[in-house]
Amino acid sequence: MRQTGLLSLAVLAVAACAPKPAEPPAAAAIATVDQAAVKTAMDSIRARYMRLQAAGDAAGIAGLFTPDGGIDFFEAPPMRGRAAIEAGLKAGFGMRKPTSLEIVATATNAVNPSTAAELGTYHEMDSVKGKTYHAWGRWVTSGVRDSTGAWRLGYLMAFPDSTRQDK
Amino acid sequence: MPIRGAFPSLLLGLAVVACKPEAPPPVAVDLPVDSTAVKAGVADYWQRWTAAEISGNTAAMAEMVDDSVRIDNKGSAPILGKAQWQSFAESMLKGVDVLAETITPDITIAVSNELAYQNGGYVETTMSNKKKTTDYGRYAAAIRKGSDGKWRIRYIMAFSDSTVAAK
Repeated sequence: MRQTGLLSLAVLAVAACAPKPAEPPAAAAIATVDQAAVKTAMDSIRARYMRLQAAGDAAGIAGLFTPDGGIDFFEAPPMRGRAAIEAGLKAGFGMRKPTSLEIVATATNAVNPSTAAELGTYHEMDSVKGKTYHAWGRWVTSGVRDSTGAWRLGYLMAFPDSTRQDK
Repeated sequence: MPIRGAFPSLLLGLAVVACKPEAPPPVAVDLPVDSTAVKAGVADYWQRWTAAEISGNTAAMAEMVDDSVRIDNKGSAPILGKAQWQSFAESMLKGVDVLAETITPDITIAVSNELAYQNGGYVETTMSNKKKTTDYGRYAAAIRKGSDGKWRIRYIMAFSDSTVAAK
């Protein structure tokens, strides 16, 4: 990997020049992507997403995204930008009242300290005229750390693999 | 974007600065990712992809994915790895001619000079059993440039929104 190669070069150069004590840790801190911290941040976004969806809070979910964030859900028009996300989700919640959402991440990868990608599965329960519908599916998302240091969703795509209606 | 994709250059910059103790404190220079080159590389990739699909060249299609590719395509189980993908492509194209395919990117994020996140739409016209159908769908992909300079799909999720049969 090119990046790893350059990292090694940088570390070697720093060691060879015997710089001020404060410099190598600073360089190391910038060079290292704290995967655990990113995972914690993405876990937090998912947890909030689940709560907000169960509450039918479209505006709250839109707020989890970057201002120019986007969603592509199967059988729903593309949603681009927070306003469109809120409107699109609100329309969907109007047709099917969300009752619960479980999201499981199966892989999280922070490619650098401000960009991450995740994918996983979900189980969603909605209520339509008193009947409960289940959907199980897959999703992929990108996370972006903004200028305030907060993580937000940049993009989300999802589709259901199977659906069922309770009797 | 804070320091997206700037790490290799940043690291070398830090290493050089470390050799000059009297120099001013290192400034985190946001050396830009060459987005134009990344987008051009990915655009060229899709051109070759559609050419391989139209010619039914599954070996070329296999060569165009990462060894550890993951493909989440609605209607099929996750496809993991190049060999699984080639096997899937061979069975998918058996008795099916891809007549035309257009891939239209919506958003392309050059995460680094070697990694792009992209989402967009596709239109694919196929002929099977003398029936012509056109699929309209969406995709989200991570496309990576290998050490050999070739772009390959590392991950892709896709679903078809509608299928229209020609009369």
